[in-house]
Amino acid sequence: MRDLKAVGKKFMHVLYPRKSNALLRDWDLWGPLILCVTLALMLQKSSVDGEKDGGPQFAEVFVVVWFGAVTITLNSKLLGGNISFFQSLCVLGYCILPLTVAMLICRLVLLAGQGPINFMIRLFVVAVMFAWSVIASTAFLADSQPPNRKALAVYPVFLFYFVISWMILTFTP
Amino acid sequence: MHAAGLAAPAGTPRLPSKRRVPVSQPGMADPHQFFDDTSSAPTRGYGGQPSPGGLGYPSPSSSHEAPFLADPMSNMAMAYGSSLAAHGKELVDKNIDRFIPVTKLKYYFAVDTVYVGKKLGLLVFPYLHQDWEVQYQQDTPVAPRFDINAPDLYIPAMAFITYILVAGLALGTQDRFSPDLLGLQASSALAWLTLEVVAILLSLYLVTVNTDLTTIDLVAFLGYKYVGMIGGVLVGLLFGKIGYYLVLGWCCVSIFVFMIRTLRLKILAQAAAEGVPVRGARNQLRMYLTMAVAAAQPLLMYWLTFHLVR
Repeated sequence: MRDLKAVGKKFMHVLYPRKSNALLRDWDLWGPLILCVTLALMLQKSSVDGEKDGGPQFAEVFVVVWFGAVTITLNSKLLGGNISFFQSLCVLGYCILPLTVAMLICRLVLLAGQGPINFMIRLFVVAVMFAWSVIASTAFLADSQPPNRKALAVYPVFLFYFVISWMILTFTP
Repeated sequence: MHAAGLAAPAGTPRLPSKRRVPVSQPGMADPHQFFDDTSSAPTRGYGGQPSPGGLGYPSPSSSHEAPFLADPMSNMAMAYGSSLAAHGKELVDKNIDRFIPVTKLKYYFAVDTVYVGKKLGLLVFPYLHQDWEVQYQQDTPVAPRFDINAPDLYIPAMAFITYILVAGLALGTQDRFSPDLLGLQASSALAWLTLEVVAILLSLYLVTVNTDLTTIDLVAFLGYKYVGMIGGVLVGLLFGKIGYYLVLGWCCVSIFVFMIRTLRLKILAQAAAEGVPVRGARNQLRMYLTMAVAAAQPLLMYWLTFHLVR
């Protein structure tokens, strides 16, 4: 119960990114795990014909998310940031929350059939949530770098969330 | 998986239960700070703590704190466990340096945004740059942050990752995408890079040249061509084959000039590097080697990207 409350509190921090140390100080990996599993489950195609449509398998989403997060953390540490390995993983994992919400909305929108208007709506939603994710994680991660290197540490974060957004946007059930 | 401020050392065995004892001890200033993250400011020594804080290690009776910690046997067990953790962490830190030279790698990542911007500019337009010599400071080369000629690993690493993603994007727009293709691209590009590095190291060895070109330096130089490749593929996606060929051609020539000017200083003898043509079989051989390395770059750039732009 205490863990659940901690996870919930961190979700709130991601949704309203303020300068606070709660996410960094008491890191935990439950939230990222839940989000990753949810995202991977929702990205499953409902292909009953067994043909390989090119949708990401469950394991692929997992691998992309976790390896991406590890790479960004390594990059941040090599650039000389003073954030620990697991703290960085925690922040990156929690900031997938807006994109998971975008995935939910996309799935709902896709229930209404596909078409160009449908695509524009989905594009808009995913773009907004992508920006939200990047801003949220930058708010936490950029502080660990000196100002002349912030952009260097943020660029891989941008790539990471871009890949996830791309997977969400190109999902068709 | 819950741990406040606990930096789990990779070498120590994970104890089975994941429950943590919530503790606020009298006499402990801040229980969350017992196992400090080594990346934040001053770390308290693990073994230096006389009394165990009861943090991070599971216990069978997790809910009764006072009688649990009053038991001297579990006190000792806690102390032993924490010293084991400290020992394990030291062991990992000591040995990881043998496989991955972390301190050397840090030199190559000592960059800042201004350096990256200038270096990218240099990679696409190396024609006006005059002085290609790396500055030294008491026998060690200066960090990339202070000298634009010094090689770094940030640009090649980021360029490589961006190249894989752009390749996935390009394949996706042609409806030939599937996630395992990304892995395939990544591993094939990595294989070509390894092959290049091995081939060049072998030829440097055969030509018996005394150079201070380390392996990591070589990887850095060979990684710079990914910047041109990304540019070419992106323009190819936007403007079709004509744009792709134009941009790729420009980047090929630039990287050729860049490599020649950089490697000339590293491989050729000092006299030849100053522009004075020195006759002699050894120098000629070295010149051929430099030209061969530089010429391989455009070839590989084309080879790794032409199938992405249709």
